[in-house]
Amino acid sequence: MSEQTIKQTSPLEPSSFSRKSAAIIIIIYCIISLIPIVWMVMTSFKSANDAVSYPPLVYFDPSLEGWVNLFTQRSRQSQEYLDSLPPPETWYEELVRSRQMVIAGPSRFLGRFTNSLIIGFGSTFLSVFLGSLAAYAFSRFRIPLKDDLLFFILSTRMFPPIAVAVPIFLMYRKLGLSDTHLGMIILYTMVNLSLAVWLLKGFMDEIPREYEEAAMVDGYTRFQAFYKIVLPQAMTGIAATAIFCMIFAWNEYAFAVLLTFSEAQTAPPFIPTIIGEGGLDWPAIASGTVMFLVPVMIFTVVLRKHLLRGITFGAVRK
Amino acid sequence: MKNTLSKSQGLSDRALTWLFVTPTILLLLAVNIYPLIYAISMSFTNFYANKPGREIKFIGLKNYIRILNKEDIWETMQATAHFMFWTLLLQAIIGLGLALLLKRNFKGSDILTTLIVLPMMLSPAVVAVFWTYMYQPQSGIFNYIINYFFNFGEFTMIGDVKLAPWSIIIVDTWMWTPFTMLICLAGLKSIPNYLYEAAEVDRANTFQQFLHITLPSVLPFLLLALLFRGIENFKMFDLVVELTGGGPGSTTELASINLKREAFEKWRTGYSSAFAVIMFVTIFGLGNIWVKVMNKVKER
Amino acid sequence: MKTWFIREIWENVASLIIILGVFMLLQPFSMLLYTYSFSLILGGTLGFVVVSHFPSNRD
Repeated sequence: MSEQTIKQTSPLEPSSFSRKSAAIIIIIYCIISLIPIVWMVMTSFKSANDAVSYPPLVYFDPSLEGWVNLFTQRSRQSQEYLDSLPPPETWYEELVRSRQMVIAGPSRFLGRFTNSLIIGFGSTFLSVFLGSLAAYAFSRFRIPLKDDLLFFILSTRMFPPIAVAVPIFLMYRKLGLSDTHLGMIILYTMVNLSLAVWLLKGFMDEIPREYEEAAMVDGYTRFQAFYKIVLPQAMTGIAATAIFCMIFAWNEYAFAVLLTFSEAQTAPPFIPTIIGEGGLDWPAIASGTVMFLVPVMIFTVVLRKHLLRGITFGAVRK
Repeated sequence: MKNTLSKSQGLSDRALTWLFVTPTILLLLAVNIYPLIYAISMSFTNFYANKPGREIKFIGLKNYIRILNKEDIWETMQATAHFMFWTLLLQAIIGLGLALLLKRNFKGSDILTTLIVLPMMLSPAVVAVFWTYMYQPQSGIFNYIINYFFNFGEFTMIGDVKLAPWSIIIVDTWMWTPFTMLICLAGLKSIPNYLYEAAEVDRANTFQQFLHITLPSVLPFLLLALLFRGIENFKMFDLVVELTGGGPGSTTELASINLKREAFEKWRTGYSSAFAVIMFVTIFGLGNIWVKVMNKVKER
Repeated sequence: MKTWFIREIWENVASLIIILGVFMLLQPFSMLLYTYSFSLILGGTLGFVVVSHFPSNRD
């Protein structure tokens, strides 16, 4: 009897009651923490009136108004003018006209979104490329002051963006790099490099040296061994690192808001400025937010096994 | 050590080392260390970036002395401290609690973990904008739910002097509790089973087991998570700027928001550089401790 | 003499100084503590960089 009571409370084999109650609490937390995300998706399908109704609407007629507003610029017209127009050709034109407006042109959102993509992919590629070279060297070779260099690389990640933004702003102004894609790519590469080097070094440390040594006995040069043996082996790690760099560049706001204005502005500083008639256009903001966040959510699910490693700079591996 | 193998073939290891490491080091020097040195040198001057014709004078430590004697900046530090204290406390308690529950390994705990982690990966600035919508006094879902349960009557989170600091604490806790949870979970999983088995032989009850085995093993992990979040929240910018913009008044004006005002709105470049150096040195110091804790955790 | 330069001990000392400095920077009680916080943080940080090059007692 006494043995059984001990078993039941043991952390090794929790009783089914303790498992069930844990599951229930976790599910409740999960639901609460997902409300904002679900609400975001719901708002993106509301009409402007439904979005600001009191009490907040859970059931509503879905409308694509927010999405149409996100991608278009519209202007209000009189009823006579609308009547004089030929009938709308597309469903979105019809939707806009039913709100007494006509489409004046595409909005700037797609451009900002493209900027996010260009800067994200550019900086990810550069930081993974440079990072894997440096990580290999740090993993395999003797480097003077190795620990200091590694800490130096890591510490660059911890710099508060606002603190380095002033000199970078002045520097970029002089070099003509402010508000350019290249400037932002270089900047994000700098921030991501430290993560890339640390993570990739961890992954490469795990690849047995014997593989390369065997290859070099077979006549490979060191570089060939790196290129043909180590890199393919580290591919999962490289992919995980790349996605982490991409997510950082995608989410970054401080540098983007201080150093870009129009040409190279990314989506995060742009989304808050989407304005409709009489204030912020919440359904459009929600649509932009959803479109911007869904890729990250997909990556998170794909990445879940590497998540911990990525966010702790490889300090904790699962 | 293993150089003997490759000495005769292709590039020497030494050459390859430099070839591989130099680009990274150069880039970091150019985009990170150079600006830093630039900032340090500007911090000793009265430079204004928007007045190019003005003579730049070396004024020694005056900027530092002024910042360290200024009540306003001390207040932004207190606002930062309030924000840091509550976010870290809440995230430690909730994160550790969730990790302990998740460790019971029920069916579906993997999927739930992934779902819980979602908020952490999103863009803080974009998420913050959306939270301002949920904090609307009338149409906001947050206020509606709170009133549904507690019936406070109409209240506004962001515009209220007392509530505004809590509006940022809530969002930060919502976003980053999963971070503490994940790291604590990794710590819990690193505890070898034989410790518990031995404790059971000794008839230690659950609470004693928690106090003598679980807690000491998970503590370095928790410390790692809190130090990291502490550093991040000390320099917190994006979330709060989009959520409250520092207001109302200056109740949520954290140090880096104040710094941004001085640097990019008042253009007091020299002065704000000194402020930046103070923040940087603090973070660098904490970062050293963080790496130390990290190495301890890695040994497990 | 060698026992005086053990890295672990001095790293802990430097860490404590940094943490004390950070506390002084962020505390809401005394302006005077705030004023002198940065000197402590700076000293602790520089000290940390120096002492982390002392030999470890594990070698």
